[in-house]
Amino acid sequence: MSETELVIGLECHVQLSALKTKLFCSCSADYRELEPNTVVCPTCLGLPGSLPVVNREAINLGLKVAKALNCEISDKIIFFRKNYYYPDMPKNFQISQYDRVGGIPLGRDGYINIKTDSGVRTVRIRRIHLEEDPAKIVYIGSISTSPYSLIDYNRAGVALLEIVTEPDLTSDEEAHMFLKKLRSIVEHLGVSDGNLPGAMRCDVNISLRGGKRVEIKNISSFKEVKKAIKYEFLRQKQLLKRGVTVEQETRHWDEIRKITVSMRSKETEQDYRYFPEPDLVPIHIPVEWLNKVLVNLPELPEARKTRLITQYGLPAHDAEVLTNSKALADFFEEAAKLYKNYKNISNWMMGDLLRNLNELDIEISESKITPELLVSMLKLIDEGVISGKLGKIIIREIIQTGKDPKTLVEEKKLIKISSEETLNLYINQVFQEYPGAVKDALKDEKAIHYLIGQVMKKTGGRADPDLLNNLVRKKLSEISSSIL
Amino acid sequence: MAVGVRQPASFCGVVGFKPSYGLVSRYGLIAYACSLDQIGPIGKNVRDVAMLFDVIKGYDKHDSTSLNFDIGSASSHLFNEIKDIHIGVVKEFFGEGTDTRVESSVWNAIKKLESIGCKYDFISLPYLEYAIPAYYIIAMSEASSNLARYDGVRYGYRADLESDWNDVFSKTRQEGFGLEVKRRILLGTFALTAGYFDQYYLKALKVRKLIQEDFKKAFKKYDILVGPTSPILPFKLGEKISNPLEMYRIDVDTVPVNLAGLPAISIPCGLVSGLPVGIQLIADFTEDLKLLNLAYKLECELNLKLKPDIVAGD
Repeated sequence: MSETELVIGLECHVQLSALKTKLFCSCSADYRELEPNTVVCPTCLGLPGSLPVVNREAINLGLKVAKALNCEISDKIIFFRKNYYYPDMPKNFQISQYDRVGGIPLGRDGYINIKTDSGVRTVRIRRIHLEEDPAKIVYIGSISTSPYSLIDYNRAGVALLEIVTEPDLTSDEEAHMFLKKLRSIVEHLGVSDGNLPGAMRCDVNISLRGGKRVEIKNISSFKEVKKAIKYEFLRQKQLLKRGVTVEQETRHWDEIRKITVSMRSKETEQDYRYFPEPDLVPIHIPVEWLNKVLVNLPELPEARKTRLITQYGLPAHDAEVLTNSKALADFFEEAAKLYKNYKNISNWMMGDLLRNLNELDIEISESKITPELLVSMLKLIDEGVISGKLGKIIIREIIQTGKDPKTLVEEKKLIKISSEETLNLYINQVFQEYPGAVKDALKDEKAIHYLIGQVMKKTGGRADPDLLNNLVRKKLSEISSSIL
Repeated sequence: MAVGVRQPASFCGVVGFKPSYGLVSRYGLIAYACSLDQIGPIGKNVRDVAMLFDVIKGYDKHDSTSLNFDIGSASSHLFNEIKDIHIGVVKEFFGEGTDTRVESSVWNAIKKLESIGCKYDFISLPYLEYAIPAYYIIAMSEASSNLARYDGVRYGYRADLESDWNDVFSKTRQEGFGLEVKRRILLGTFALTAGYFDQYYLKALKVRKLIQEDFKKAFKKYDILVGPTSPILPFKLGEKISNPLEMYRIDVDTVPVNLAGLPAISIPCGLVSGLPVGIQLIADFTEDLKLLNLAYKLECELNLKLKPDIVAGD
């Protein structure tokens, strides 16, 4: 993707999953994996006669996020009604916040710094506000072909933070970095758990420079955001290439078909008819309240990064990557309690652990590996029981099965071969099978590696590499002197 | 509904009391216009109304607009002696369109107030002129939003139609709502639409503020304000439905109080051609006990024995 032509702004929805109850009623906020429509009450179902009551703790969590994203924080909380009809809306209006006609969002004018290939980039945050989550619409298969849809109100009324960026992002990769950083921040604050499905969602505004803005809705996870941007970029580029103008419109991300589908054009763009919510009085936030909430804020990723560098002597890059995910940073520090070669832990995490997680397309929290298991494997390598090369092989198995590396090694007879006698048996076999290679190796130093490789292969990677190297050279020099 | 207590009470020759906004919880009340809605009792006499009020008032954590303090017992306060009560007769309540027979009946009651020791003189609240448009814009705007939930998905009427949600919502609401409700939803939706919001809704809020200030000023000098509850005598069922503007204008004396959130009571003050007339007394915010106290004294002094003529078979 060309950096100069893409303009992306994000509207992130972060569920305050740390809350016990919903935003405006006392229903449990823990609605997942429950029988549909069982965590509901008159208020979150929008029954006639019900009224909202603000969950004060939701305001507290919102204030923390506003502070962590370097926002200007409002001294009062005013809710507005956003009026529009949609089947996931129990009242056909959403209680939200607004930044005009007397409204003010909880936080505004903040920023997040992200690290990109071209250096540190500042992504401005336009505003943060509190609102209620709509119900969940369950489609039968794909959104665009579902013959009917079902509504589950369990999610309705759960507290959401809407975090809107300025159009400061220029690629899918940057958008992804931003979302990772955002997730790490809210997880460090302890306000939201990004592992919960649907806890972090995102709408994307995307345009190719000079073209109209297209909004993509219905993206259910940060992972999908990257795919949606990629698709939409190509779609718009194709249109422009053919001389077709890109219309300003709202499109839905069809997660199953992996395409964006047009939902409505600008002519039918919604007028939300915002007005102040008359059922809720404005809440003033005196300085004492704010101070009480913001004192003892947990350590944030930036601070943790600095600490990882000083406390463990990690390179800045490692510390950056680790703290971009709270789970990774926690994993590292847990491991560091058990094992003192910190750089070694970091190397393994940054290298083979992350690579395997990427290949398996899972998060560290979804994998079976624990800090104890990683450390146990590192100790086996240090003690010479297995080779580093074997470590690279079994780490994937540990990630997938959570088996103790010692057990794996025994099961698979993977213990490193460091007996000269045994290794020589393998070496002799190889020398007999590849007389040509032996000849080459006698003439050319570089060709030795081929022989070593063949022996390693025969041992299933279990040969002690240093010993093997020595024995092969010894054997060659023996041959060489016998010829002379 | 906001004027749904005092005006019907006035037309029926009974007592209707709208407490200060926030004294009676709205939790459980089907919302029409939340910022104006206030539940109030209707009864045969002031004492009944005060007793019921004592039961239904009080703080409710389920209603964020509920007032968190206790004003005391209304029914035991009724019998207190009144002294040094200064009454303001609101000029605008006797303006154009007020039936002279209503006026003279209300004046008769004002004289009774004088006879039990109240002083009175005239006061003008200039912004009351704009109360009706402001009230209806705010009420209809809020109503358009409050009534949006009746879409047939979760409860209530649902059109017999198999189509996409948009069609089902539209048909349900088209068939389920009556003419007057639809009119109010449409006007309210219009008033909140981008481009009109400033000139209608925001302006109405400003007028509301000015009316509140008018009252505030008045209550620096007066304890109670008075006037007719309705400018006209009761009309026949359905008589005004085809002329909404005329119908809305009948609320001219009752809605200013809703805009200001004040307590007000209508008590019968006489009969004209066999039809009841009500006098409205208004007090400052949360002075509900003072209001009921005076209303009770006036009721005793008027000592009306109202028995409407019931015409069989009409």
